[in-house]
Amino acid sequence: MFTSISRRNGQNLTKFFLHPDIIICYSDFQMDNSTTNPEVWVDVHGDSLFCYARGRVRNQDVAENLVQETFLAGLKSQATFSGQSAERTWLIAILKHKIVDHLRQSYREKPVSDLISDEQTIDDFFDQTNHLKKEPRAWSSPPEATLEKTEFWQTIENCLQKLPQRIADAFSLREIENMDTKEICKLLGITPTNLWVMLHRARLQLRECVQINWFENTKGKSNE
Amino acid sequence: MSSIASCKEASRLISDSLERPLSFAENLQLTVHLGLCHACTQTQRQFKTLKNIFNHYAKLARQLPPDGKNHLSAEASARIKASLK
Repeated sequence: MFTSISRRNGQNLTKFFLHPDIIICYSDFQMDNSTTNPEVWVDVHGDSLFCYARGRVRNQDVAENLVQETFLAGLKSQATFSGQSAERTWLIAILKHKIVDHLRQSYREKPVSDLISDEQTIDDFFDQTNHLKKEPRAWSSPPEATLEKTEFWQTIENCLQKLPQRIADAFSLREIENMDTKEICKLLGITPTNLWVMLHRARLQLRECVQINWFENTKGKSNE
Repeated sequence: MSSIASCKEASRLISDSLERPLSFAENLQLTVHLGLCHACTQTQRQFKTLKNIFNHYAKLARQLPPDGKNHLSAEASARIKASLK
């Protein structure tokens, strides 16, 4: 069923046509600059923030705490909110800082780098002659129509969730948060070489997962 | 390393090339390999496509499956509201 999604706060999202139960955690173009009273923040932004946090930390309790900390921080710094961006964009920006702080803390407690096992799991993607086990096929570059499909992003999300947590963290910080190598290495307590091995590991698994679950699947093919 | 990298080595260089400038020797090795190997040419395209996909994912929208786990629970919602007072 495809229908124009009507958001809780009454804004219509006409660009994407989605199942009405899908929450879009975060989107830049859908928001105006109106602000709301902090009393209704939880109702207006709670699900979006939680959805975003949970995609990143995978643990419900931790995600809930991060959302709570975000609202509390927002309440404290409300005076500095310029109104230049939408309220939710501002809150998401705070949440991103909270997520990075959380990662920094948890990786301070346990070391992230396991270069030997990462090298070994990279080997698992190759056969004895050092060729990829799952031969890379030609992907049609995802056209606009694909990028608007809920199922496509579900596939991407599922593939990301299948990565080991620390590999997913490294990949997300690099490709979603767009942090540079130096920052990520400092945060995770690893060397650039460690990071590049982890990113290679992530890309090998993601390309295999996306190829199997989208491009070789009827969902992807129905699109061509 | 031989002058013609294996597919495993080539895959590593392709991934690294998205992160750092390759050395002259690495670049040469990869270029020679890609000239001969159709599979790695596809790998290179796929790694680049992945980058574009996640770039899009980061910018526009994060959509999660409607599995009921993406909503703040009523308890958490009540707890957070109480903490804001």
